[in-house]
Amino acid sequence: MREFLLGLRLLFGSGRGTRVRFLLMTLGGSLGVCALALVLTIPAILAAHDGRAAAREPQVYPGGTKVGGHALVLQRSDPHGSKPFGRVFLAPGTEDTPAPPPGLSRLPSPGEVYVSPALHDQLRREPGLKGLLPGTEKGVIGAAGLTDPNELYAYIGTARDTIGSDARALRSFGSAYPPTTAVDSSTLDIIRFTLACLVLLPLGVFLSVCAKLSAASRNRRLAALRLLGLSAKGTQRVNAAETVVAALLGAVLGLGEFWLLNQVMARTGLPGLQWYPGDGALSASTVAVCLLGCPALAWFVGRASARAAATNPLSTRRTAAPRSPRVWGALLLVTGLGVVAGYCATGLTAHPAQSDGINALLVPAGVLLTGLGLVLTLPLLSYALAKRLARSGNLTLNLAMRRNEVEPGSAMRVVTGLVLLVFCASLAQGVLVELDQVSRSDSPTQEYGLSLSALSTDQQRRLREIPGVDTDVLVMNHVDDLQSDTDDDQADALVATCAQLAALVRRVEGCVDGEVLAMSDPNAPVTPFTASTYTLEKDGRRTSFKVAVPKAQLLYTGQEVTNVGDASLIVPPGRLPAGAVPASATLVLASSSDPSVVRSVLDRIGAIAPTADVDPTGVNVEALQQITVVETLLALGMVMGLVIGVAAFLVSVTDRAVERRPQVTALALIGARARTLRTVQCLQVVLPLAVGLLLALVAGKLAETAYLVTGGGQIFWDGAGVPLLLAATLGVLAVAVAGTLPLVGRKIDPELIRRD
Amino acid sequence: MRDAHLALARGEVAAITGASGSGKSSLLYCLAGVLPPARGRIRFEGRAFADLDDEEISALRRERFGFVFQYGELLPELTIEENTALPLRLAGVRKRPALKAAAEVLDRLGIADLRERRPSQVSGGQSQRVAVARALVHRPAVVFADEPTGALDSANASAVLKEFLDLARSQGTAVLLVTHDPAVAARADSRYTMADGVLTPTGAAG
Repeated sequence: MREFLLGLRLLFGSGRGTRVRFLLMTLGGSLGVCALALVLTIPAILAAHDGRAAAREPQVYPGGTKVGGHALVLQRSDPHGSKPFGRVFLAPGTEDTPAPPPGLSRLPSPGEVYVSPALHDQLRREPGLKGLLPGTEKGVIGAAGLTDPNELYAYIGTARDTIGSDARALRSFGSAYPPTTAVDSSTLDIIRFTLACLVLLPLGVFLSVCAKLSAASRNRRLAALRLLGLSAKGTQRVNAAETVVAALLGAVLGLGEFWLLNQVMARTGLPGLQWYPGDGALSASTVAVCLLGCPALAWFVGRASARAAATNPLSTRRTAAPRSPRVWGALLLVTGLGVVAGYCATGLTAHPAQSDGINALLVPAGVLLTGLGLVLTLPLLSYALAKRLARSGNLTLNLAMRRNEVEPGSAMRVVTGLVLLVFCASLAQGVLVELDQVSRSDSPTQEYGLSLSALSTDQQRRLREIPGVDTDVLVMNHVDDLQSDTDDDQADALVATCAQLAALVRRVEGCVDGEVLAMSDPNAPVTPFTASTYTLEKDGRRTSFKVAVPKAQLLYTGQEVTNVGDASLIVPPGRLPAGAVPASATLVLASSSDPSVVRSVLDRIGAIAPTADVDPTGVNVEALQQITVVETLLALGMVMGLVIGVAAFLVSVTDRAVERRPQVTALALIGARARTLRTVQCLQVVLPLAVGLLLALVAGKLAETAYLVTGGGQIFWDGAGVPLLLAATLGVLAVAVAGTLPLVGRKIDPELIRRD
Repeated sequence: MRDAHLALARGEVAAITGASGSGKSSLLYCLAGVLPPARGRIRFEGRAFADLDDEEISALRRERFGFVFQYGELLPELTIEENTALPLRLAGVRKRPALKAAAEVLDRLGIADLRERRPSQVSGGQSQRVAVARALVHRPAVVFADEPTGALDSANASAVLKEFLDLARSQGTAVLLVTHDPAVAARADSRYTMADGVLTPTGAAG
């Protein structure tokens, strides 16, 4: 306790440098605790979302529809833009009326509608949506009955005879499991792992940087205490007092920051992820981890960083003897890379490794070992590089590299946060690529089918002009002539040009523009057809349009899920009478199948034709929603990691420059040019950083590939992400250069080389 | 600082003594072109500092001046030889001839065997000798020495000072010493005292 109090006395009485270091440690710690609280709270937020979805889930009597006099329920979930729009139709019964679902005080009577607040607002913007909600709006659903504040959800009271044959006898509301989860559990584990890498690894570097700030002057002070008779452990405890108090204050501040962040983000929301402030409330275990765990960790860090001064106080003034870094750090990297490279190699074989059994353990272990090994190997690489380049005849390079040769660890502390960030960015890319593969169809194009009769001419024009829509065609339905009993023999027709067809299918052969052709997909069963008749509309009048069986045919290979497969004929648009449109047809729009494009197109369709029934062929809107959530969480992690990594870099590089001021002043006094000193400063950071970033790129890509190989997708080597990663790497280098240049001033202050 | 008149001839050794905080180091750094005087003029080889820009003054410090600081201020990461050769390298001399010249000066100061060591591996006295070698290696016109023996014991101080002044005189280099030690000042050709910012000549060697 005595040493602890002495440590506090030194902390508050040791001048500006100590106080600045304390402030940085506190702020850095608070940022870290805030990030930690976020990582720990995300599962609670998602669990609250899923819990409310489960609590309102209708439970039906097994067996049948309309059993006895029970209330009836019918659920509908349709896409509204890229968001799901849930509707629950309820018809009252005569017996066993269930309790209302959470968020409602009573069940709606026929003709009454209860809507979520977000739907209430949407109805004001899009009155056409009322067509999907037959009845009068009687009130809004409470928060307990909604997954999030922006959910589009409604309970619609209806009569038993109008609810439809799909309705089921309602027993109660509430299930043990939600119908769909916000993020499925296996994805959640991956997100937590990636978020931990993205946030906590740079944070560890930041705290290590803070613990080593002003190392030389602090070690001298501790060595003096040791020489005055304080025991080695006591000396370490004196130092630990500072880190513990900083960590404790940082933890309290960090929890406050998180509280504020939760209040703000719960109100503004994140793309795809909204929650109520209460969902993000701090749990007792999170508070305990932050308030007890962080100071406990700081106690050990503080003691460890004072070990050298405590055990060998006489050595603290003679620190410049070059020490070659320990080699064992490289062993971790070699082991980690060995594991991930092994998995990458299986990707080249016919039987890539799967994510089951031991692989589920080895891949994350390999990734972690690679990341950890990367951090521990950087000083070794920096040392080797410095040793080699220090022999150069170039004075600037010589001065820069000699410094790194003597203190490779210090040089690498400056850059480790940024290097780790690039490594983790590769991992994040891997997670996104994997999710993208799992959730999207294999097809490069995505189709959206809308009934033409439900669209006005203006809506059709605006839909065709949606950015991202590459092509549009019509699938024209033949006349339903039940009397003649020839329906099965007629064919639906695709109204499209050859170019439009080519944009929708994988391969096409024998298409001739301007000619009606039969269409045949060798992979699909052949359905013979006879001459087909279609109804066209022009100026309000209906006419028949007959197409004979063409002699010529084209061959095409279609996508797995497509509207094109419904058609057996292709009719060039020019063959239809001018101004005539089919009375019964599906307007098929097509875009790229990239999830972000699909989301954007669905949102725009929702805005143009809010009540139209959209068939987003093969797309699961809930899955699309999940991807948005995951992307948001990873982006959040990247931003936090970037802030922490850049902060670690700036703090570290500034501290290094401050500790170096006497030598730089001496150099300036004997005539070194300012630009020489700036270049030296810059090279000291940029060269090891460039090597570290290159290694991080290679290691990160290998780790990403190992993850993709075992993920079971089709893409193992994510070449598309490389340009982005390279751009980020160059950006990091530019930040490093910009950060180091101002550290050498133009003015020389001789006082800096004078001692007290 | 006021009424400070000081002239230094080629090869002359001048010493300024005074109590701590009297302004002697400030005067030294003014004369070296590091701190600009509020009033008055400083001339070197007929050129007024006021007429020179920053780059020209830096070039003067690099090529015509040398510096010895109280604590040597050697770069800890460079070897003794590289530290000594630094002024030559900064002036654009290639590595090999610069190291050769450094080796010669180190040899004359009797510390040639320390060439490959680093500052942390030599004693305080040896370290200050290296600082002297660094100040003289490029044969400057003037060496500015701020308490050059202030961090040494008396025996070491006396030996280092003797070697420093002998080498400077042999090269024709003028030396301006700032010290609070009368024994150090006694070795100078001319002496001044600084008190309350006023510089007073106190004598010349007989």
